[in-house]
Amino acid sequence: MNTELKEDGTLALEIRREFPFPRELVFEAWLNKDHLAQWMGPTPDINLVHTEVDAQQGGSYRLGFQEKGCSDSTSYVHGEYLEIKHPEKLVFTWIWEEPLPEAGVETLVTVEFFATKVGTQILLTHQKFMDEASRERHDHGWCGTFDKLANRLSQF
Amino acid sequence: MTYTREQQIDDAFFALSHPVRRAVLEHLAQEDLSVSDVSKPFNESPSQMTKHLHILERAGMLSRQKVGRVHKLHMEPEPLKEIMDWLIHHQKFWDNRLDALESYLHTLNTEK
Repeated sequence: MNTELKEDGTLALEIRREFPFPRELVFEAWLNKDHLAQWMGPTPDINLVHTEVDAQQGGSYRLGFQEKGCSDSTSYVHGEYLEIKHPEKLVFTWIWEEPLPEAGVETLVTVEFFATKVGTQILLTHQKFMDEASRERHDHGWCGTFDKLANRLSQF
Repeated sequence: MTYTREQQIDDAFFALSHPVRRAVLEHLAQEDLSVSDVSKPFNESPSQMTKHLHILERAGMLSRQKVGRVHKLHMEPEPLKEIMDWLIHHQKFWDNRLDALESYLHTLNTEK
């Protein structure tokens, strides 16, 4: 696993994972409602209590999570499948709903699936959604800057 | 119009999307600087620089403080903290989900 910040001008979270399973299966686990319900929850931290999935390009989904131990409140997230390229790539918007603090902030999740010797590597990128007009290209490093700022912040 | 948290996060992300603005913050993280001092390392026109500073100000990432006759720019850490919280929260979320995905795939495999 590796987490870093993207260098295309937008702030993004990148996570890589390798699974010893075929790409078809790993891809299917993201789109098939029954599969999704099995691994999005229940897990040690959350339960998935609502699963609504229309797994086609332009289709939407809505998931409801309950944190373990706080069963009276459900956090909902919804979004739209912008791109489904079987079994290589999945792009969808990710928007938390009220009353979460980041409610309404449109973010974008891209999951890429690469066939490897071991099985499948996925690269998950979660970024703040920006349209082309507001996206400004740059040629500077970004990670270093962020680290420096992070260090500085820890002193406040 | 009220300034929502959503707009605040949007503005902060947008402010960080340009290398000059990130570099300005990096310099200001070390010390408060005047507009002319903070502009020196960059090959930007005064009007471009004004625009960058305005975007950072609007995002609440810098403030102006008057020291004698000079206005000094000061970095405000709160918006950056919010962005870091966002990153940490979502990293943890996906790490946990991917752990669960891995366990689930193993379960499927065992059942076969």
